[in-house]
Amino acid sequence: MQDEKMRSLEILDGEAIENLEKIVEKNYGAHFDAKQFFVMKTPEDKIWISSRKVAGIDFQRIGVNSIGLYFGKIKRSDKINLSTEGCQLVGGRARKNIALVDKESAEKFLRGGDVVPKEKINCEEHNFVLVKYGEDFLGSSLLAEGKIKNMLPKSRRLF
Amino acid sequence: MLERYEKNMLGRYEKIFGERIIAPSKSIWHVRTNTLKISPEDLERRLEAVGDVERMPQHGSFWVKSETNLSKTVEHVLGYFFLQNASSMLPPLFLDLRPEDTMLDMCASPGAKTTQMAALMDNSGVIIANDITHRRLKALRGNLQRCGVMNAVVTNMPGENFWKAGIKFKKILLDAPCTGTGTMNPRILRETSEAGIRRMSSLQKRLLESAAKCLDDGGVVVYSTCSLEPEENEENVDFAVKKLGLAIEEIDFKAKPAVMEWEGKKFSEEVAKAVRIMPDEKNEGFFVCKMRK
Repeated sequence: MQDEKMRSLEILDGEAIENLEKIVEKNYGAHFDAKQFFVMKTPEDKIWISSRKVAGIDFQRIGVNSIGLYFGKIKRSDKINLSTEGCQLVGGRARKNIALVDKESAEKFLRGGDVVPKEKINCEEHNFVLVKYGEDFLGSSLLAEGKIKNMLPKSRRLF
Repeated sequence: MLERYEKNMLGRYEKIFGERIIAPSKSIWHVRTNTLKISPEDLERRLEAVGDVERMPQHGSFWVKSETNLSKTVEHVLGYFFLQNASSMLPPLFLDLRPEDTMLDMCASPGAKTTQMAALMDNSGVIIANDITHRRLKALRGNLQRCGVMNAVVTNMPGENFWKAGIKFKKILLDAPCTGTGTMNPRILRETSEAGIRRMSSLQKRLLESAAKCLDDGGVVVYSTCSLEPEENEENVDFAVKKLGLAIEEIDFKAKPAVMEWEGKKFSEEVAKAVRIMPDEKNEGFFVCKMRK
């Protein structure tokens, strides 16, 4: 979210935030308390979250480039592709759509490769899954035909 | 063999400090735990798998001797730590940050101190993280995201004009752009000229003036550079005292005394309260001063 996109930013009200919580709950079986944040949405349905105190800043007076943390993007059928940080925030309480990978696959995934999970926890085909190795949530990607199709942005890969 | 300018700079430092300056070792990684994502204890266990770990005096930070490039580890990609020189971890500590604060980080890129401050504020309150160049903002945004920072508003304004926004702060970090000679990087030493130092000093004064205008009465600005040059450090503190009316506060940190006189200029007695960290085998050179309006 930068510059010109800032101007078309929608600040979510209580009802819209509740809807976001429902989407997270439906996809990952996790209660995510979004009400504790200042939540924004871009026209591309990308969700950004920040501390509530940010609401008190007069954005008109400063050349704002971005606000807060990129949480994820809402897709069709109320699915949500979480950012790595979104995964880490939600992951600890998630009960579904978690794909566990082994060490080798974790490295391959972080290098941008598609991988096969060693175990799936309540995973739905053609939905986004939280990719987990050990205690680490590595990111979110699409599960299709039993494979995790890598959707990790280049900026979050291992090189 | 040392290049001419590098030699000149080392000679200059002998003249200023009366001693030879040594460069920090490149084989030691400086790691600051990102406590927004992992505990220092858990990170320490993970780091022990890649090298010899020594705890720094700063809580949750480590020196790691390792052949592994730590910037290319899973833990780094996942935002569990920030590679940041030990000296550069000091300025945010002197701001006494609280979760409810709204503070200004005037020259924030690439975000080492911004992410550190977000952790000190427990991801609450607000950090206005400003920088002038778009290219540097990209690095800043990337680091804020990787470290899970939620309380930052990134702005793109010339720091010297930030006061025109008319927003006042109780706490400001001015980690000013500088020649970077405290890193003792040979390239930097080769490329640094006295004219370059003067240009930088002039910009730093404009930034300090802007920071002073952005401060609430009683507010604090912590000024820092990773430069060894008196023109970028003590001379600017002297300017802040004499021209901007800022009061210098003592910092509880054992360090080398400030330079009180340079090239015929005698600085205010207040300058003695600034902290000058000299480069040594582990740490880069740094300068920190806490000032109150």
